[in-house]
Amino acid sequence: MANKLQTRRLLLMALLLGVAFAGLGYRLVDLQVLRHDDLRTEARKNTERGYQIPARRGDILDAKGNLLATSVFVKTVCADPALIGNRQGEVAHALAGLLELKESDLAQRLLPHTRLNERHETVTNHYVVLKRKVSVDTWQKVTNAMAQLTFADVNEKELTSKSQKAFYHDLRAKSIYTDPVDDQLRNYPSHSLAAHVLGYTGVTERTNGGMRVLETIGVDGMERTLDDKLRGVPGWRQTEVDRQQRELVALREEDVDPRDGLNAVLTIDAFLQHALEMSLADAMQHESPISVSGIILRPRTGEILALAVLPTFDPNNPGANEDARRDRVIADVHEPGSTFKIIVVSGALNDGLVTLNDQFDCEHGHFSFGGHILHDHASYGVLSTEGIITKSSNIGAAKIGIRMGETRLYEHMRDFGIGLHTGIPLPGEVAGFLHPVKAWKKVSIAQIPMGQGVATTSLQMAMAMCAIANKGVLMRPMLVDRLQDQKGEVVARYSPQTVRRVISEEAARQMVEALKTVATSDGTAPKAALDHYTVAGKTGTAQKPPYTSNKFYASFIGFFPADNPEVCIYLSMDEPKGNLHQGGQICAPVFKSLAEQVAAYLNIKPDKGDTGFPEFPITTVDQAPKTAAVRAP
Amino acid sequence: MKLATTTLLFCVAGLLALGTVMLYSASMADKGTHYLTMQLLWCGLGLIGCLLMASLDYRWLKKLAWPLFALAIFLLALVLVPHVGLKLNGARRWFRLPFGNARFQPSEVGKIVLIIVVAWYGDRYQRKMGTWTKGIFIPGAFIGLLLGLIFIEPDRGTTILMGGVVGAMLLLAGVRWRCLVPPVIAGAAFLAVSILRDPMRSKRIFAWLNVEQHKMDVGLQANEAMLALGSGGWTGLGLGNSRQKLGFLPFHNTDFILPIIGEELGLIATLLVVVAFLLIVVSGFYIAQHSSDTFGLLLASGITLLIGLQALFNIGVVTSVLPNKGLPLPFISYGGSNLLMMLTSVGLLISVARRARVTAPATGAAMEPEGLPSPQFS
Repeated sequence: MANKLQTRRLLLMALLLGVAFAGLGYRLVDLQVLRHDDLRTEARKNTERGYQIPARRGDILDAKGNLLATSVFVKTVCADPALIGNRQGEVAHALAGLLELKESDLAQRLLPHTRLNERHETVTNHYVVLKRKVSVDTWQKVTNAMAQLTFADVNEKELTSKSQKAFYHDLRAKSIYTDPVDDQLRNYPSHSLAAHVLGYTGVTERTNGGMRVLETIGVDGMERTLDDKLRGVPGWRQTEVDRQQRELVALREEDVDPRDGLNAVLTIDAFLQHALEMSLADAMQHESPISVSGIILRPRTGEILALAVLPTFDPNNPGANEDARRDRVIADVHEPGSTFKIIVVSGALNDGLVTLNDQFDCEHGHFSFGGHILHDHASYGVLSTEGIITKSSNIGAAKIGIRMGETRLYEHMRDFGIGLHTGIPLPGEVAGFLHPVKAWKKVSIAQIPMGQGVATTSLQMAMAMCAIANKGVLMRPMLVDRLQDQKGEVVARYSPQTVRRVISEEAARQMVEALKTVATSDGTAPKAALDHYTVAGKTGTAQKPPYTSNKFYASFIGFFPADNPEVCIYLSMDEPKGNLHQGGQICAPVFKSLAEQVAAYLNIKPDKGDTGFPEFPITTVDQAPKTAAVRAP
Repeated sequence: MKLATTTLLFCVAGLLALGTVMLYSASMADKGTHYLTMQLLWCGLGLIGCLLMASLDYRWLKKLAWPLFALAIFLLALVLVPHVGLKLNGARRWFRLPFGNARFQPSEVGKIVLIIVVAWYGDRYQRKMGTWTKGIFIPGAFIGLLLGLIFIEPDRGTTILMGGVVGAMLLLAGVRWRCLVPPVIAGAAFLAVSILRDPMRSKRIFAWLNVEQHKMDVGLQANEAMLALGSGGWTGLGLGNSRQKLGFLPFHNTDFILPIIGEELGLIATLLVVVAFLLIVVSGFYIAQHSSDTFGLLLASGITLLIGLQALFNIGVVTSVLPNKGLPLPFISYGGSNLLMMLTSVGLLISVARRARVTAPATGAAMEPEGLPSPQFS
């Protein structure tokens, strides 16, 4: 039995222990209830993970379904140095070639590194990225190479130790692996084909809920315009992991599959695009201009069948040359020169100011107006309205302009879309320059009709010509035919869009009559004449300012068959260096050879000559990609 | 007395049951049933030890006090010998047992033997405990010898714990407060120096002082323990649903099992654990106070203090109230020798209780030392 002292001391100890336990009880309440929310949030960071699952970027196809741009899933090849032991040399030797890495660098990266973790244990790194964007094929070769790895200094069949056997097994099977989430690589199988239409992509880094995500975005061209359609919607996974970052599948809360991007089908036809690019390349070689551009359109719908600019680039590797990447057809402006005459003449025909047979005195090449002397490239006397187009008389065009008056001329130019965006679905289009009437000088009324003192894009001129071909209705240029999902179901279809009626149908018909005379022996472009089709067209030879520089901007715009136009072709050369510089001399022959291929490919019904079908120029068909030729209707 | 024994046994049984369930919950993800099987084996041994001790008369331990002490010293010295003692996490504290993968920690034997020896000494020299020589120097010498051996393993946690237990026992044996002051100061100073000279221990102390700053390195374990407790809330995430046991909280099977209990079963369970230990302490002191002799009093209070203080230290560590020490939570943490020793101690407590003198002044009932029913084990 305890004495008093012992009882007292026992009580004291019980009390102290009681107080201590009560204190701990309070501490538990503090941690578990009062700080519950904060600590729970903090604890969740340990296990909860959100992954974004990238959506596959949609393909870009040509009108016939040929692949112009596609996305391929690629692997990120990683290594676990801890499993490689001291076999860096052999592994590096086997893989350096496949991964296109330097063998010594690779061996270095395969060396294990150690560090101390928070529990003061030595840990080895298990994750080294060897190479990103490795194709599935290459990855297959890598796994094969690893499986067949041999080591000269050991005879593995004689190994008895379990751990040794496991080491060599893991080295072959597990030491080189890939990231679980595939990366994707934008691929343009035809390289530079239609580069200025397709544009190219870039990679940006975005943070999503604290995670860094690499995203492919369209930087230029269709890739940029259609970015939100091609991109798709990424999926995500909300899940939990353990300390080794292994997923606890049972605790997966959300798992949403990505929705892949839509495929875009363009109006571009790979065969015609190729033909155009070949023709331009030819012209580039013969005339050595700074640049050469071409557009093939359907006047009735505004569909662009081909659009090419040289110099060009490979979207797979856009490079640093911004000049080559620029789509000069829409981003550069020029004084158009004589092709501009179609606007003033068709406007005058529309307003009833002139008929095709009205006579104009072309002053034998010297016409003094507003303190300036206007010249023609040859001396002409009296020419009819039609003759002004046939011979491309500056003085004649100026006189029609003067008759029309400043306000009407300005209105006609506006109607034709000069100084306005054409609305082509490509980024970077400029509107050109069309000064308002009050900013005009006295001579402007005489200069503008012949294509001076106004700046247009190539596409604007092509669309203006198409308006005449299309019975006076201006169309909006069209590049995207439809969007379809991965199964090929059409999601959205784009239809041709009318901008406005520019001139009356009758005025357009008369204008076509005048334009037919250009590609004749009387006109400026006899070399554009086709054997089986009537061509309507207009040449342009603009002297580049300053007008004394002797540098030219030569162009030809033509369509055929003239009375029922199927195709309009625009061609231009900036500063040709050859002996000749007139549109009729250097662009018209390109038009002719190209038009023959186009007509053959599109099976256009001839409107002149004896036979029902043109003789196919066999040599040019041979140049075309075989698949495209087979697919021709 | 019946109530005290029943409460004691009820609490111990409850903690054992909770511990078994929680041990499986905490270890099933990485070890499957391995820990559970081992713990159940040790628990069976412990219950046999408990029954044995409860059925024997504790007083014959008086005769065994010195032989037991010699055995404990021998084992503690032997474990320090390289290749005989097993070195884990930088400390040589274990013998490898021939069967299974089991280990045995001689300091657990040391603990109970020290309590028995001090109880015997306090009983033997009751009248002279007030003097410096008999009260401080002689007990100080053999206590110091045994604790010194534990200290150099190193196992500072156990050393501090046992220092506290025997200090309190000496006070109960009649040592004066002022006599106890110099050894306590000396011990504290010695500990402080040894901690400062050991970079890892001093880091732990600094981490404890500033948990936020060290939560990614030394204080990681303390921080993760708090996260586990905090995310449990009132009712917890549900049995088996702990996230922290998935490798985030180190030693979640052993010393840090309480945070897992808090995370899975919530504040209700952790408070019940605290209450259970408090009840064990109260019943233990009640048994001590009513023991029939001084030896029984000292033995019972020593065992009670051991259980109480060890629980207190463990809960203090996992809630970051105390710096990290490495003491298991009695009856719950995985650890065979500790469980065996704890259950054997409980057996001794019951043995003391069975021979206690129940005074009932109001009714004047006769003493019935043998009148207690045998404890029920289920």
